[in-house]
Amino acid sequence: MAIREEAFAIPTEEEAQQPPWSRWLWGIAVFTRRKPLGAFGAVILILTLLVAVLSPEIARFPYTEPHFSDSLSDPTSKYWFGTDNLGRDFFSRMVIGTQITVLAGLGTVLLAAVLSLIVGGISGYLGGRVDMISQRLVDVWVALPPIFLLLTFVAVLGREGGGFLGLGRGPEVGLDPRRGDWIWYTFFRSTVVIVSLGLIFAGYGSRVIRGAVLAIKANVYIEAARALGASDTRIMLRYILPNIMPVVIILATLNLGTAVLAEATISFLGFGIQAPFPTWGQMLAVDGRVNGPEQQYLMIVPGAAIFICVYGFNMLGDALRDVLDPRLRGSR
Amino acid sequence: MRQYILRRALLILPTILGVTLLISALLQILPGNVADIIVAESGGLNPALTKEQIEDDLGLNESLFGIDALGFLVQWGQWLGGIVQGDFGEYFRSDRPVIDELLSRAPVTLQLSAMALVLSLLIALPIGVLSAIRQDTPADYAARSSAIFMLALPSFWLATMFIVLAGQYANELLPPFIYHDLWEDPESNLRQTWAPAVILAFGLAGGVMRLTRGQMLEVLRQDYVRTAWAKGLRERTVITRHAIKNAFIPVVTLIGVQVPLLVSGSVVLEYIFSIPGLGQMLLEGLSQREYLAVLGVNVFVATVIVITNFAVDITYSFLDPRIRYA
Repeated sequence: MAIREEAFAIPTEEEAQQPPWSRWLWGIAVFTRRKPLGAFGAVILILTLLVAVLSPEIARFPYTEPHFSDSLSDPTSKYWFGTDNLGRDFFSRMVIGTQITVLAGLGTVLLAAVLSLIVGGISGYLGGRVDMISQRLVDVWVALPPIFLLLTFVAVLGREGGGFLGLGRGPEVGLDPRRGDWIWYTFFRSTVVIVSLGLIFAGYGSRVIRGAVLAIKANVYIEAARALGASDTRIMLRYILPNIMPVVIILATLNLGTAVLAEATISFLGFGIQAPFPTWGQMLAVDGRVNGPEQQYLMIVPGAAIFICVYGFNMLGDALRDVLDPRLRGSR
Repeated sequence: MRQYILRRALLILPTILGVTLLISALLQILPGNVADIIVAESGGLNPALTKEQIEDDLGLNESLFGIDALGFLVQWGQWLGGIVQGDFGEYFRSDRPVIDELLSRAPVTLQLSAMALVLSLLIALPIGVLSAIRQDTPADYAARSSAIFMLALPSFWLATMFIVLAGQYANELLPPFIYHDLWEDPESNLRQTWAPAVILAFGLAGGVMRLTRGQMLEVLRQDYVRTAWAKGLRERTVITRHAIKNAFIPVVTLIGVQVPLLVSGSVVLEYIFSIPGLGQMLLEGLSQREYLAVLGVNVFVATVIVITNFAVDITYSFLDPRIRYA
């Protein structure tokens, strides 16, 4: 097989006859060689997902179990990252906190992708008055600084005792969600954050999608499809959607890092997921700021975890952008 | 040109109106018992404060055509009428006008943002240019990877570590307990603001650096730069006279993009370094349910951002005539 420079290039006939898994492996190998930092980001993403999914198995203690005699302990073989002021195992709390990072991050990115596809797609495809009006609405949306809108949303939507449409309320949770069905319990805790972040990201995202749709609409094959009598729905779903998928994927990956950072920020400010359920931002604020002077691991570990995730996701997004759609380079 | 400015200017007003409408509508979805909570929490601090008073202030008991859900439109109209006259309403607890609070806090945030912006440009522009001139050298790699690092470093992590470590090893670096105005006591003020400004600048510098490098690389490949080299000009002349001038044009727009980032970033840093700016006003307003203050801050900041963006667009079209016809 000749050495191929382009990752994700169209397979040659000879390659196409090989089993798919071998082509995928080859694609991954090429991607890793050309974009080592992107591959590093992919590894971070997979690791984070694994830790979150397996978190009830990985956590060594229930995340609220106090060990008062061992409070503010150094890292030991029993407490890998030490303990906080109540003697709760910091490692277990970090691992459980990964659930929020993953759910809030992925949930936001998915919601934002769907919303910006709908708004940006319709606006770009229909054009004319619809486009004008929806773009002015987006103007309003992006005029507010994200964190102001975000904090206002979170405060308005989520309220103790049930907020708007019951967002942020979930099945009553005991102190330690049983293994297996944690997603169900944790997801409802993060709905307020997901909806708020998703709505905000969708504003910016719809601009990018609209631009991509406008570019694709100008292609001759769209005109050809229309000449053949294809309906608007068919053109949108069969011709435009597949062609903007790379843009959607890139946007989602690039947003993932920002979403994780934003979730950590609002949790740090005390407006996100409420204690005692741990999230990284909240742990940095509560354990890091208050107990940091006595036990510096408490401020280093959560911050470093946020940093590594955001860095990795950004690298993956950059690499995917370069490989899938080099024209977008520098758009960020 | 005049037409372009006019067209852009005409968009400002509807955008700001839209922002106020959006925020008024947000209030409408507040749960119904919010007035009770506010009265209970204020604990008799303000005897004139009653449930009816708050519902009236927030427009919760209004309705339009007999439909309660449209009540926010009535309230929006009243509130807008007030804003036009500079009246943003009053704090529930203290009866202090929101506008007074806004005007006393805006200069603080402005100072912090200006310091951060200037610092970030001082860091990012020279490094970005250097990184492009010496493309693919170790210096370039170092600059690029540090830019990526800066983009991912959470500012609240840096700030927390700074406060905690300074408290342990270098007490003199800690911010003073009481905030002093820049004109009143410059030394105390700067001792409080330099650290957040540096941290804020760090986060911004990454983006500016990447854009500057990209623009420089693009310009350096242009024919007129090759001509300048071919004429035998010195490197310094080629870079400063021919390349930088053109490469910096898009960087100007980035400053417009940065204003929302600056304001957002200052929310967290004002909180950590206890600086009484607009961000702190927002956080306090939210946690004490002073919703009129929250509305005021949002509208105020959005207006500033819309106007800055307008100013940047106009500047850009002066700098680069091609834009006007696009």
